[in-house]
Amino acid sequence: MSDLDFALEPTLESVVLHDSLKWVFVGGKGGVGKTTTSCSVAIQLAMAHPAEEFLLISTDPAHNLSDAFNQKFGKDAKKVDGLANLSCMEIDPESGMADMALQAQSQFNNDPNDPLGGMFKDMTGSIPGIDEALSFMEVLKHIKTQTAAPGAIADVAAITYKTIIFDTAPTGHTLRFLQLPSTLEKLLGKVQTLSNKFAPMLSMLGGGAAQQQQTQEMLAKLTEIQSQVTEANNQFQNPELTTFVPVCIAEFLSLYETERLIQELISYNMDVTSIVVNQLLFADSTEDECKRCVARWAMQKKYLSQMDELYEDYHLVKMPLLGKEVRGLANLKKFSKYLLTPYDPVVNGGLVFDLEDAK
Amino acid sequence: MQSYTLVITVLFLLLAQLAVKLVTKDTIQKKLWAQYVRFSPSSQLKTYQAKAAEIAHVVKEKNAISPQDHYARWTKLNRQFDKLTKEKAELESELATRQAQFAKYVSYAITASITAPLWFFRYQYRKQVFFYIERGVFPAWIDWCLALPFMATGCVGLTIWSAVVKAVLGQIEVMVRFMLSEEVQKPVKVAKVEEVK
Repeated sequence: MSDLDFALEPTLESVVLHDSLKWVFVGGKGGVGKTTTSCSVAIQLAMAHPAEEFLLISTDPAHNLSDAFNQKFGKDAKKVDGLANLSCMEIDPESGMADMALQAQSQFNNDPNDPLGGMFKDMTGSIPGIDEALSFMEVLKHIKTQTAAPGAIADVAAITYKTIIFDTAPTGHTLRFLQLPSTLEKLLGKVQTLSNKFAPMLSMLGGGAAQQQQTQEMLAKLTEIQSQVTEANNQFQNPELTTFVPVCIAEFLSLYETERLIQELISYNMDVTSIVVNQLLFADSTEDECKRCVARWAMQKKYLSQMDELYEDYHLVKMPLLGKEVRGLANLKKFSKYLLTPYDPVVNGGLVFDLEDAK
Repeated sequence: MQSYTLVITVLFLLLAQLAVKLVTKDTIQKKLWAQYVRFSPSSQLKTYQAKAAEIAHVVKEKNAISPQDHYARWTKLNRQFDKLTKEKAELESELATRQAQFAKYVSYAITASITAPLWFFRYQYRKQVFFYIERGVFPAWIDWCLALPFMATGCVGLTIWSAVVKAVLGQIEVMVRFMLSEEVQKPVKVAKVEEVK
């Protein structure tokens, strides 16, 4: 009897070849290889569907996507050199906040000498969770584009992406970000109820037609945001549309954090079917001369066997630790291949020292 | 009722009142609730106790193994622990309403058995004389005060007597609390440290 018959294949094929997926989140504790994995997933998706467009978004202010591809990206989507159907976007929460603050201020008070000028920016910049809110605004924009009927999109330049891959923040705020849709939904619902209750009273207090019109516009905007948020919520909880890929390494703390992450995701009804275990040494004592590598590999194997037992309902993808950092499109392509075909240290061992130098 | 019977009954009631004050109503309610939970035939309570016992068992098992060496088993126990804790918390919130009701009944019982009889006696035997004071022992105005509210001057009734007993018991309470409180250490004079030049 072999449980291998029932074991799920250790690849991300279920993600890459899943035709209906719209959102792929890649997350995990810092330093486990999230960015490398998210770039790899994006590349494999783009290569598997050359006729479709894909977008990779990162909210890490450390510009990790630019480093990973050795190419400068900004807050507007820009195509990757060498891969025409993959675009990258790095949302910088600080500059996003600055833009929003300027916009809000120009609405309220155009006077450049206003002593309260900087107040709005200071106030909003320190709100906890503001970076998650900003990346979520970006998500809403794309939902708007993607759910609109073809031909109805006013902005001709807006591209409809088949799948959007999120390289989530390493600080663990990902979970708060995922909670945002349901939190916002409740919040907006309450605001709506309250405004309906107080609208007659407010109109009685006066302020004239202009004020009333402004209020009406604000309420209409809120209603629009609310419907988008509800849509986001529904999409994130639909396993046909969204999946989360946790990345970890074969060490106790990383596994413990991954377990906590998976349990929280399950409580949010978010689909998790694959786990990527990164930075594996594959240093068998017979072939490897490095005693340290052999010792650490023994430790990693111990945790891997425990993971096989614990996550038998998940695709456990095992990725190797290479001799250099995986940077640049060529290297990422070489590395990402093993997300779809399991890495064999005997056959594919040459990859460890085969990476090209960054140009 | 005979005066001496009443005096002793009221004395015991006042002592009981002091005891409730010292132990606090909250503690009495909690202890009675714990006993009720133990012996009650209610299925909800039995489920709650079973859950608490199961959690204790899982925690014991978890602490007995090393998470690094038996990661899979430890994580499965952890998952079980989280699930049971969540279920226990749900049961607890349901039971909290029952507990609040139980606490209310206990409070009623204490009032009915101690406070109510005291008030009843004060009303029923408001004109009954308990003690007589010999003329001349105290000034006349003190005799008059001690006769309040319904007595003839020179007599002492239940109201004044129970007030005096309560005051005495209050002082005894202060002394008992002081004796049972922690001893405060005498402050030690700190030696002056000479500056190193």
